[in-house]
Amino acid sequence: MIDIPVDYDNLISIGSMMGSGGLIVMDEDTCMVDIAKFFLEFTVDESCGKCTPCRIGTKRLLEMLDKITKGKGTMEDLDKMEELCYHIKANSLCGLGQSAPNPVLSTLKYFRDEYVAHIVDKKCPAGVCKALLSYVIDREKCKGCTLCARACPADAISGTVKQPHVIDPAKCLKCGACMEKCKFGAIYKK
Amino acid sequence: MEMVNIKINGMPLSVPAGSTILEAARMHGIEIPTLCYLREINEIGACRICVVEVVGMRNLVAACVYPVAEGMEILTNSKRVFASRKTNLELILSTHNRSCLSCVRSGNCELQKLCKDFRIYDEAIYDGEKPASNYDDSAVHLVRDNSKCVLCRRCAAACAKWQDVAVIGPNGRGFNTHIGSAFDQNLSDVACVSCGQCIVVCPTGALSEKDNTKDVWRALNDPTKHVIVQTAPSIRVTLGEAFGMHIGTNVEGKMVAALRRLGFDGVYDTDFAADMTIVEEANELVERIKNGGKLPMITSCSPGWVKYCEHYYPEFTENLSTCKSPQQMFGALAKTWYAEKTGIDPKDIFVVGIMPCTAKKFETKREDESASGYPDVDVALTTRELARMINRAGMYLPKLPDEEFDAPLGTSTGAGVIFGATGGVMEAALRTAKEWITGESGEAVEFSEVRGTQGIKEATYKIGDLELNVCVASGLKNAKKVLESVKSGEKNYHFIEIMGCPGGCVNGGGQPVQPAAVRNFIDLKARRAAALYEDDKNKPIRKSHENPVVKEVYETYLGSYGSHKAHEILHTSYKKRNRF
Repeated sequence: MIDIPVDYDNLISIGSMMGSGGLIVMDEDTCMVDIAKFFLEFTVDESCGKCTPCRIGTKRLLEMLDKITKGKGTMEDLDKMEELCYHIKANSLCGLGQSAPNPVLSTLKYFRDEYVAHIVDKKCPAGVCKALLSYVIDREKCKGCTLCARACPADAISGTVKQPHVIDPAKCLKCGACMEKCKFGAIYKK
Repeated sequence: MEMVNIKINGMPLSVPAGSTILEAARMHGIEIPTLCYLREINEIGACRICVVEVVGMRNLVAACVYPVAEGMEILTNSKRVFASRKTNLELILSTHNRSCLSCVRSGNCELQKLCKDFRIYDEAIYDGEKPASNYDDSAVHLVRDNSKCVLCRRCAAACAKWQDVAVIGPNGRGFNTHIGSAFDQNLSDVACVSCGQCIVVCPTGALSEKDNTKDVWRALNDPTKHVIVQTAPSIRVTLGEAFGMHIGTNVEGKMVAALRRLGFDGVYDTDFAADMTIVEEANELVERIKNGGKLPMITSCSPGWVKYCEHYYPEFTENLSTCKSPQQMFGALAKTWYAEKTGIDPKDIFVVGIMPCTAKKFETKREDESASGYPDVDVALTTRELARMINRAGMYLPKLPDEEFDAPLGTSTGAGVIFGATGGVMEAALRTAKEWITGESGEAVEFSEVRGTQGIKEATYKIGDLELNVCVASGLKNAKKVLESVKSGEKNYHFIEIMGCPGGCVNGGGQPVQPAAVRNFIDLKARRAAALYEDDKNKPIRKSHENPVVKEVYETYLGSYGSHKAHEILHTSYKKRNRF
């Protein structure tokens, strides 16, 4: 895939397109479901609202993706979503609707396992989808420096000095501020 | 005509170059379902119900806008096409409130029919967030329920392209697109003329007249009320459509029977009041010409037109005939002359108008329309509302016997009947004015130049020494053209007839709704008008001033045409209304 020449026909053949010629490099920390959602949010915003498939269809796609990133998707949703993608592509009035489902279709094609992980394992492999992850403090590594507790905007971390701290998952906003502050690598995403 | 060769579903066909796939298919009897398409005014390919497959093309195309080309192979009923139409319907349903059981359009809803045809089993398959929808019942004549709107934009097209009023259109964008007035103001706060053309083109129940039937049922059940009804000229040739009868069937007798069975104490005819209008208006015209009054004089029968004039051309309100419309003249006489004649207190008389028009609802609420001290007309119902009352009362109109209007307010002439078509008021007025000016009484004359469904018609008649220049316009876009030509001095008319709706009352905003599939290919207004002219031809009396009851009213009550008393009862006034 890395050898694909950047030209119109080749990009279209793999489900992408030239656009403005820009290229975005992503690594394993980018969730493919989340990135599809990001692109679709753009098209839902940009839809003019004239034709049915784009006006309603892209909104429904976005809702389905949202459901998956929240761990509430089903494998049937995946099929329904794929069908709706092809419908929107073939039926929309203009290029916006006709290309709106591309990010969904190409991520489904090349990263289907990530979708399945969200649906079946209720996990986000990239650790992006907040509903599917939690921050945990490793008792062995924690020195009890209290830095994380002071950085937490939600007062979700408790513990006494020089003792291992704990995160209350009910209060945690999953912002990651604690993990950034920790000097001992004691905080990780699960 | 240049032709191209195409194939539809494998059939080789020759069709005119430049036609759309939809038109080409229809020429050969192949129907393609549509939803947003309205011929000439809304060809926008938005709903995607008419999508078809063109062999060799990646995507489906909208048949309503896609032109044919030599060698094109089209599939209108393929599996892919059916699946696409079905999904589009399912998507529309996911934003629709689906309250079909009680919907006013249940049974003649275009969305409902499509869903049935495409077997939508799971109407909730794509359910999700619904767009914020508002319900606007601020106006006197209309209710807009956006939770039933499919965003076909047919209403906006009718408002802008037929009427040149454009007070409704799509607001917002994307999923939040919704039909409304500018800045989402209430319809009652914008310069809507109440014509109701948006309602008759709405495929669903998103737009409907404000239902006043309950007011009429209440009056009918009130023993202290003397409830009388008048039917506008055009109702007799359109009511049958609501019961599946052919377009242009005259059901006058059955309509009278239905009204009598509904319990009205008197079943009368607005045609009588139309005759009254003609003698008053013809007199006003003759006076204006003789005494150098404001010319051209413009008719004032159409309340949609009158409201348009007040909003958009206030400088012409002095040109409007001060005569009340036939509906209001009827009510005014019912609560004065008729009340006196029958000895009934006008406060106990309840006058119902059956009108082709939603603006008539607005008209009943106008100022200076209460000759007896009580509103001239209490309730104006549309043809559709009457049909609903007849249905609810368990009557099947086609099976009712033919009965006659009651005396005295049911006596009318052929001149009154043709009020329902564009040019009819003009012709009726000319029949009377000609005799009055020349002093010669002849056979009923037909003025064919002012007949027909064209938007603007002109004629010059030599009546006595006078060269009378007349003009007839219907549809407010045409009215605007005529007014502009008068304003610029390009045209010099004595008398102008203007009807708010294209084709006049037969095509009014209160008439039975015909789906786009009919409306797009059949000239409704011509067929309905033909029935009125046929009725006129068969009437024993065809000139308004010869109506015996009109004569009686003047002899025993009003005195002479245009008398002081006639002015008090039969004339009204106009005011400037804001445009913004």
